[in-house]
Amino acid sequence: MHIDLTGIPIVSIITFLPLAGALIVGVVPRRFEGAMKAIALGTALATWVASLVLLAAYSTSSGGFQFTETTQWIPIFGINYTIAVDGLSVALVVLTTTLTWISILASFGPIKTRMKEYLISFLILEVGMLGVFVALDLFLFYVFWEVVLVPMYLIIGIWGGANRIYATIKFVLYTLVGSLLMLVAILGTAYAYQSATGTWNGAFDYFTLRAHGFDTTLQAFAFLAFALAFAIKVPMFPFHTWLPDAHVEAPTAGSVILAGVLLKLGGYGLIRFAVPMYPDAAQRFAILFIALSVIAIIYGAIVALRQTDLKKLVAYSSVSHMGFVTLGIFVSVLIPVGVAGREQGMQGAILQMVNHGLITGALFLLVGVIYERTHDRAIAKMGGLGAPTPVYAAIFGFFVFASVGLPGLSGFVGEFLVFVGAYAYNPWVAAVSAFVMIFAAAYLLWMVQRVLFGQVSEFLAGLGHHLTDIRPVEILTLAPLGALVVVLGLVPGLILGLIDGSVTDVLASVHAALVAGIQR
Amino acid sequence: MTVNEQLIPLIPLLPILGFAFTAFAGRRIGRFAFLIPLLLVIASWAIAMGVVYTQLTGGYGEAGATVALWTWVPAGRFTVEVAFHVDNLTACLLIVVTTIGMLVHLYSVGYMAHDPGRWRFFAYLNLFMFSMLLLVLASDFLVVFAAWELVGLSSYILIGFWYPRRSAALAAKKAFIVNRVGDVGFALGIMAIWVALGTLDIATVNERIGTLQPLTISLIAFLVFCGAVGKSAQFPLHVWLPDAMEGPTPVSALIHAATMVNAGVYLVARTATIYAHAPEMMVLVAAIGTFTAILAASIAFTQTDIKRVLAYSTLSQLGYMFAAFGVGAFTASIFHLMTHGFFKGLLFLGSGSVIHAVHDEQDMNKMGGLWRKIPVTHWTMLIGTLALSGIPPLAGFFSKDQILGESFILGFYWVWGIGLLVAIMTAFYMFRLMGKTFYGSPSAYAKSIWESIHEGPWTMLLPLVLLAIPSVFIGAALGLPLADPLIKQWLLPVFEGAETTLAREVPEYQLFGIDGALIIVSVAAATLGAVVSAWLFGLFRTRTRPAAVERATASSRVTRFLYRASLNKWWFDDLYDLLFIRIGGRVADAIVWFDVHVVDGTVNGTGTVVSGTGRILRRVQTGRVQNYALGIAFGLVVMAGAYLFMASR
Repeated sequence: MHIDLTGIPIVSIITFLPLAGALIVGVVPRRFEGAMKAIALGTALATWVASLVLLAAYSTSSGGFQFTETTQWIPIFGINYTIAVDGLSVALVVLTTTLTWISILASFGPIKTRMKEYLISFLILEVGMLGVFVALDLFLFYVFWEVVLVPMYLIIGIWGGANRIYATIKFVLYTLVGSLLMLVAILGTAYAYQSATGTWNGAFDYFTLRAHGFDTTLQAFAFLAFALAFAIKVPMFPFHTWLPDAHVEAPTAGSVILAGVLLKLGGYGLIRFAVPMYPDAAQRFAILFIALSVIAIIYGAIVALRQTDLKKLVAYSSVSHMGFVTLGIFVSVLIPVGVAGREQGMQGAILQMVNHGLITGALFLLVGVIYERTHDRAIAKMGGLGAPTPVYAAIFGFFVFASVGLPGLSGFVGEFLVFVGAYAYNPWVAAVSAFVMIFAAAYLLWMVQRVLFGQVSEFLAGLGHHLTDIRPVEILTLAPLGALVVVLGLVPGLILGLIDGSVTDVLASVHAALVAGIQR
Repeated sequence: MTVNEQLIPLIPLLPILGFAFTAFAGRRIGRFAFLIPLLLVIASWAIAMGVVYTQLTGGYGEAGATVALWTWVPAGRFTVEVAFHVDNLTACLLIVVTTIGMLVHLYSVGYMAHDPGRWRFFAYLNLFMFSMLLLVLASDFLVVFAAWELVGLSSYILIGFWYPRRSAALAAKKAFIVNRVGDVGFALGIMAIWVALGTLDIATVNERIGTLQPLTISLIAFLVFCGAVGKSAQFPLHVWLPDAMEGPTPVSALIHAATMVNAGVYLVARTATIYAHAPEMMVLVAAIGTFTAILAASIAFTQTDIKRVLAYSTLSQLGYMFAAFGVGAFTASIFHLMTHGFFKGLLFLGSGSVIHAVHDEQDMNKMGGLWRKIPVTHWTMLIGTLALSGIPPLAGFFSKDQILGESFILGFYWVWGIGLLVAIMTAFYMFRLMGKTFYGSPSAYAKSIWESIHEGPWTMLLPLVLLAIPSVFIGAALGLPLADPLIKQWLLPVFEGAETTLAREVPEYQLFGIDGALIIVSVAAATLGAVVSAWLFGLFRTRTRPAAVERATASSRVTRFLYRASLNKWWFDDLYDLLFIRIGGRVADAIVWFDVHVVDGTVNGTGTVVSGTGRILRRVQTGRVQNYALGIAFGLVVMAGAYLFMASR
């Protein structure tokens, strides 16, 4: 099936559709809460459908960037409004639109105050996230990157838990440090380009800058600034401590988006910008990032083992799982052309991003379901949920095993491809990180044992009839994620085929830099 | 008769359909939820039998049958096909898995009749059948690994079937995690294979493995063996299997005796060519197997839980299979896998029948004299015991004799010697089990419920009888003629390559020479164990001698130590608890402390410093935005300075 979208600015439509929704919600009087919810959900669904159209229309056989739109924005500095999508973008755009409508639907119950502001925040958040994944002008990218920050700051700070102010300020300051460094790097890169070529034209253009080839000093400086911003977002060890705090305090839907999409901004940034724009520096510093990734994988899992709060446990599992993303990216950077495993690491990393979004998103929804009923997340107070809430327990178990990396469900293939890349780079890297297979099983199954198995705890028994099994609307939020987890587990080719071109493209830049370096 | 090879995918697919259907609709169907899973497993069995027959009579040709379904992982050069391959080895496994699987399903209809969650039970059983069949049919290492994990999952949910019980929940978790330790090795082995050879297709790997460096081959063999050690519960990962007895007894019979635990043996057999190129790894396999065999047998001596005795026996017998594989007696290893599957499945189902009869009691000290009350269970279990002990002409005799005989002929005298000792021990602890359960006088508990002790329904008895038949005959059917048994003819094409590589000289079979003598020795060993045990623990109406048992254990410091060691399972559980739970837990605590106080402490400390600075700056600058602006400006200056500094050098 081929859909022809010639002449339709489909990427812009997808990106700004939620903004239109936000504006409409803004003018609806506060008393029509139902209408606001319907508009927000409708917009999110429409965006989702539009992104599916994009997915169908994107031609994997031609590959590369498609549906490009370029307009001058700040001509004096050569800043343009340039957006386009390649396979990687498409995959993450669809992930974002899917998780957004699910999050909005999942918010209707738990959010009791300021629904209007909440919905507007969420829709603007979506604009920012989508923009990051499609922007190909560095300044535009930076703008979208910052747009994401504000609504998330509000979502945690206003609708969060008891300690929300601390968490949200920590989140904002931490991220801001990184993004300011990134801004400096963007400006520095543009300035270096201008001084080398004498023109601002293309100084912020992704393709121009990638083709330019900067000297190693600028590369080192800019790469580290970029990479730090992304590393904070991923988050990589040791920049991860904002994450558990933010997750614990964020409302359920906030956690879903935080884990499902926001963390991916970091991985996306590394693959899209940091590595191909500064390939020499990427190779130079890759070993550092590989070491930090391996630490994150094991360390996150061990810390997760000791958590007493369900959300914190899932948050630390994210640190561990996202370690695979950075590991996969940087082993691919270092494996020479022609050696088996070179592409597989980065392919696995991207697959892992999508799968982590689906699985961890679902786990946060599931924690939210139980929190709705108990107003508690302490693992010690749970126990024996299998008997009173069997359907909930079954769904919970399903996603736990997806997170454990059970083959046949989506988490497995991505992780395994990263392992293959890691092994090809250095068997010891794979050997050390593979121990996460044991730790992941340990922290997740120990949680299952304490939450689902055993006798019904006194605390839960005390809730009486409030302890109801999962409701249809809650199942509706989880069913699409479950279906995707199964489908992508059995046919990961759906994603792999999409991203293949992106991986080849990025690694070609790395290789070209290597060759150029040798010639110098 | 030939069965079209296109039907092969149905063998695993029917059970997974049963799982999907029952998982979603089973609760509503209620009492008769077993029907669909049972019928599908029977259908799967029927197709499998047709396929096996066709394969073993050469209907699929030399290379066997292959059916490709779809490309699971198309990641550039990393390509994994989901394809099913049937050769004679798979055929042997199909016989065991589908037959015992079907009979266990039937048995469970009766055994689980009063359990409110029985629909769940049948769904899980079907999931297991799918996973196990996928494991033996898959033609690619990664698909085998997938099935490997899926049987692990099935095992987990079935051990934890009675999840409100804490011990069941703990045992399930332990089984999965300990298995994962081995899986790490297996997974790394798969990575090593792909990085070295660029393919994960098992046949291709077996073909090309010889082109690699010896060290790489050894590494691959070692890593793959790690997986086998976990799944087949060999030392040092044997600790999960006895605890797994927390699962319902049909599960113990099917998964933890007859099928899943064989997966490790199957895996090494499937990759025999790799091991043939790494002879030192084969010695390791033989050593681990032999050691597990005697370790587990020694523990089985003193256990009083009927299922645990059988569990340790399973460990021990799996040890035999690995020992056989390690010495190069590949066929004997698979032969024992098959015979053991039948008689151990029988023994477990029999133990379930006993437990059912005495109202869910598993302690043999509370049984005794039951042979009159549950005769069918008794007689079939006696057949199983004789078969396991290696008494001719029952099944176990043939396969065990092949293992011991070939170990001796191939010069592995230590394997033979220890194996012989284990044979004595096996007969001993099995007749101890029979004596304590069925013979002697009833215990006080048994007397108190004497009137209500009765056999289970026909659905439970029929599988016992149907398993007793192969327990008697399958050994003779496959193990004769002794000089060139049928099983050897079957498996010759499978192991030909590995045997050629090993190039071991096997002398002509001499029934009236060394081979005959070895048979006599092993039969004598089994008889010795059985007779001593029967003298101590009774046989039918003969009297028991508990005083003699006590005197024997208390006779010296050595025997007292051995008794305590056996009773405490050589303290492995305590050791692992100390190492991984206590010490490991401390390490984890230390890491968490580091995370909170050092990593996050630095962050918050920075925050404090910055906000302190901010308080000072606020006298000049008010408001957030300006602060940020200042920060940006300040950062810009610092960065630009750093850049200029670096660029100027």
